Amino acid sequence: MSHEPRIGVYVCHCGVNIAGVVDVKRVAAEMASEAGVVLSREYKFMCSTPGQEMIIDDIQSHGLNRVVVAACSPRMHEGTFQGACRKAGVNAYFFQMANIREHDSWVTLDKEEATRKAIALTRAAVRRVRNHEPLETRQVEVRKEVLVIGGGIAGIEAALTVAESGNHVYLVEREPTIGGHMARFDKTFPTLDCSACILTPKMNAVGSHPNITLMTSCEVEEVKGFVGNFDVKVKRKARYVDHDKCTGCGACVEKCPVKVPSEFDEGLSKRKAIYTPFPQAVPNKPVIDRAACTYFRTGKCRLCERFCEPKAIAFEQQESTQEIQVGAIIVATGFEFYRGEALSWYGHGRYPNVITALEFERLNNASGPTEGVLRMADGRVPQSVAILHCIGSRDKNYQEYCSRVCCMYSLKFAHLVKEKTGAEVFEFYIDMRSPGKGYEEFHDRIREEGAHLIRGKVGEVTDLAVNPEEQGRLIVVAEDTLAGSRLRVPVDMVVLSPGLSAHRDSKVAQLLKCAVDKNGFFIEKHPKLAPVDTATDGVFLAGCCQGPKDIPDTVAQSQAAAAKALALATRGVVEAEGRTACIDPEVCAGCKLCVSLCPYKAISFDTAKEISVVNEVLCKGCGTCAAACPSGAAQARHFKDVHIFNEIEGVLAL
Amino acid sequence: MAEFMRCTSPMLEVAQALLEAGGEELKTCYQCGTCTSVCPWGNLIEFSPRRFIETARLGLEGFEEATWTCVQCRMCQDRCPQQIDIPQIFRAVRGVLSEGGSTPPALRVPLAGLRGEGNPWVEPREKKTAWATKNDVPALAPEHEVVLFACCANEYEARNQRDGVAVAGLMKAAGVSFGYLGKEGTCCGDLIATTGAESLFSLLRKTNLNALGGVSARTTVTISPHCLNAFRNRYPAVLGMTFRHVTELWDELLREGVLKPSRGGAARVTYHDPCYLGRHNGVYEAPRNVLKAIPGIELVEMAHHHERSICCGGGGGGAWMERPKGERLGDLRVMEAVSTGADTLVTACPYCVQMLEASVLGLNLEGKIKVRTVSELLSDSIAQGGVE
Ligand SMILES: Cc1cc2nc3c(=O)[nH]c(=O)nc-3n(C[C@H](O)[C@H](O)[C@H](O)COP(=O)(O)OP(=O)(O)OC[C@H]3O[C@@H](n4cnc5c(N)ncnc54)[C@H](O)[C@@H]3O)c2cc1C
Ligand code: SF4
Ligand code: SF4
Repeated sequence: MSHEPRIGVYVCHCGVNIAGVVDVKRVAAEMASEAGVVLSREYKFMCSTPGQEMIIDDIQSHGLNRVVVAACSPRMHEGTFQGACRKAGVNAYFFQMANIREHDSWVTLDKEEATRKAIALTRAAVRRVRNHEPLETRQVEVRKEVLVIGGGIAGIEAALTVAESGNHVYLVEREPTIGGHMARFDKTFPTLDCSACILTPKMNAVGSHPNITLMTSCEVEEVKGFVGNFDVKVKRKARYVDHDKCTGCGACVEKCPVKVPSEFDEGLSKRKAIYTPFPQAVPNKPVIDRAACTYFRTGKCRLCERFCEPKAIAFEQQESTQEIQVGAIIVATGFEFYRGEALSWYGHGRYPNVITALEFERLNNASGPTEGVLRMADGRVPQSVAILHCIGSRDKNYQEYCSRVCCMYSLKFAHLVKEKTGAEVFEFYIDMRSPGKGYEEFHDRIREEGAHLIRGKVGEVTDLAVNPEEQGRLIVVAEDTLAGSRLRVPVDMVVLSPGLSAHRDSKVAQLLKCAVDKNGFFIEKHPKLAPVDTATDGVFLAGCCQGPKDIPDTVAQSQAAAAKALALATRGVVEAEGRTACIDPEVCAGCKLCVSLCPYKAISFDTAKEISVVNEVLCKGCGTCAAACPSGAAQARHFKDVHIFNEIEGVLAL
Repeated sequence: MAEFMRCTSPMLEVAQALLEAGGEELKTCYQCGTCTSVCPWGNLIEFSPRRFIETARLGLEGFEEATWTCVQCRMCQDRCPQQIDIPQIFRAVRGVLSEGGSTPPALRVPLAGLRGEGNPWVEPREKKTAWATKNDVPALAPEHEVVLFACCANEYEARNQRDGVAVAGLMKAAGVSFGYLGKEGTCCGDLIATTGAESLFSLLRKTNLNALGGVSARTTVTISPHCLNAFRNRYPAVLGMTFRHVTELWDELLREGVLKPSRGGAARVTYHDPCYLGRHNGVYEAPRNVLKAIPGIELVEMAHHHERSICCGGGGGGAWMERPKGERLGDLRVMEAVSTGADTLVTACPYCVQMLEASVLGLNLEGKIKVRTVSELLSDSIAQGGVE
């Protein structure tokens, strides 16, 4: 039956999305004269139930064996129409879609041009579908285990949600402890609840959960396989402490003679060369910082070893690799705090009392370097504090986007300063962004508390005094854009509120074959309808790795990502691609080129027959072998030369 | 009734005219006020580029007044988070207002001078090359490799002639094959272009393009950063020529060991970055390198230097406009220089020299600080060192 093509063509209006620009009637009429086309229609919404039923009816009443729909992106509705075909007894691979919306009507102004392009694209689909072959899909079992990369609040929440369902989680965190940025805050907006109080129990739960394998000081090195069946290599950095033996007593830390700036405290305090980043760290066991350790630098010391009763110090420890198998991966690698050039305009690094938001968080933290007392560099308590929004944010010279959380955390700072010191607070903003449950009310509360909120972005912070009142203070220069006056405000302390940046290295994205946007954040599969999916099946996103967001949104997204991973595990099987490669045994010359090129290691060499053979279970249909094969033996099903050439001819035909 | 309904409505026709005249970027301003806070005028008078933009964007009353204040120093543009070319918006508005006949009276003389005589002081055109003849500056000939392009101020104004002579002397000392482009050329037009006088600028540009078009030398060296800016940024690249500022040439000749300064006399100097050399063309280090190469000279920086340097007040037509005491940017700059303890304020632009010297006089600081150019100091050290 499938030998003589009987094609049905359907041109979708997509309301006015397509029909507003493309002359859909003309497209349908043009297709009617193409060889093999039995009928050609246009319809308002092909994806609607009547639209799909039209296809099914036509297949049955007109004996169609091929279907072409010219509509939106196949990413939206290929599955929908393939389903309709299948229902009517036509193999899903006898369906072809032409994208005349994203590729045409949405990006073309001229109606005539748009119509001609729609005709070309649809004709290409029609000519291509003639030579299609029926392909079969297979079902592959899904592994139940889930990998979570990154142990900030996003990774913690995702791991706990999955673990609670009874499935196993591997949580990979590159630092010696989990907790991420949230672990460094004292209070969180808008409720001002204590960050540690809500985070620590979750961190501990992760540390002790029977279904969670916590892998700190670890990084993902290699990812192979596909949805449901990922093989992952994890590299563990040497910690030089055997955590199986260590009891976390801390004797070693106490005895270590070396002091270096603490990263956790933004360099505002010192830590030892053997250290746990902070008191509530999970795991609460130390690691040795090789670069700082006297023994590693000079060959002498080993004091920690002498005082460690369980003999857990392991100077000989090496980096190691572990392989794990998982069905789904959740990326939760978070963000980097902005520390770029924009800070320098405001005297950071030049004036000791100009501090960043993270420095403020630490100074304000009960377990921070000053035990929560807000102090200036000379130990005095500030009488007036300026808080500067949008440092390097909404700024085309640095980061064009709005980081969403900075207005809110800056308002939080205003409250904390007032509460702790009673100082005057001057807060400089461009636009106050407080959309969120309880956020505008929080904004209001800060005004009521008497913070001076000034609409204007600060141009500079200087110590050049022009009158006695400014002497010895930091002068913040900005225009109060509402009053229309340029202000010079002398203060004791300046807090800079920059935005959230993406990680500079995109290694994780590359390993997972996920795309990042121009700012370096992971791109979700669809901005509205698939916010935690990625273009790589089985890989999901949670938290700030996808874009700046606050803790409530991060947690919601983490639970969503966990639900997606669990849905996959619960379904238990995935449909494997029918569009695999095949190697013609008659033609293959046995050169083995494809064996070495295949990124999925799906080709093996049959030594008896001296030819290459594709393992269809592993093949993802990427086509690398087909492109490389010098003898033309390797072909990608559904992307054979004949398909491609027909398609090109369809586009070019006048 | 109508009397009680006072209100202001947007004048979109006015706004549209400004957009079309080159104020396109008006539209993307989000009114953060960074420009106002970094604009040097804020230290002296009430002046808000932000409000200027907001009123211009809707054609509201008020923008005309602010239009002529801007000195085109580019401080705001470099900091604007929307990367708006704010000086360009001022130029566009100036153009529109000028066409409507509301050019400030102070600009009438320079406009007439440039139109008639090719210089802003209405000096007779024939006198353009007198300084060169008097000081043996060679006229451009086909065998020369470098064109020397002098500023009108070097040609017609006594103080800046000294700088021109120093430049020519140094070129000779270094054995540069150069000639001075005399009467064939005219004012570069850079400064008048910033007042929105587009058609006059085009006229001047045409004359210079003709003059330079026929020249075999491939490099033109300018004394003024304004000429440099005009050639680099306002003229089409058709000439296929390289344009350099004298300080860039000195820096290179010093590095190559062609010029060897031997004595400079002890001086504590501070360097004022001309806006059109620094922010507009990114030349910050060459002049400083030259100063550092002169023995006996100690270079100290003012509170505002490099990217943060404050305008002398001469840009954007400011050199031609009178400002009352207390409203002079040059005064700010001189006071900053004095507070470094320097005895010499060095710069590299004829208009900066004029403005800063006027401020030194006005502030009665002649005994305290001198205004010199980089070329003059270098020339002193070479001449005294015995290069003929
Ligand atoms: C100054 C400041 C104050 C804030 N205050 C508040 C507030 O009061 N309330 C609020 O709701 N939000 C606040 N936020 C926002 C809040 O920080 C984020 O919403 C939250 O931290 C996002 O969590 P996350 O897990 O996505 O990212 P992160 O906290 O950045 O965690 C990411 C984790 O992944 C790890 N990681 C990164 N790369 C890798 C890798 N390649 N392999 C393994 N692990 C990796 C990191 O080490 C880290 O532990 C604030 C932000 C800032 C900057
Ligand atoms: S198409 Fe070829 S290269 Fe690609 S996965 Fe399949 S066998 Fe490997
Ligand atoms: S160019 Fe200079 S003078 Fe003009 S508005 Fe900008 S900062 Fe002010």
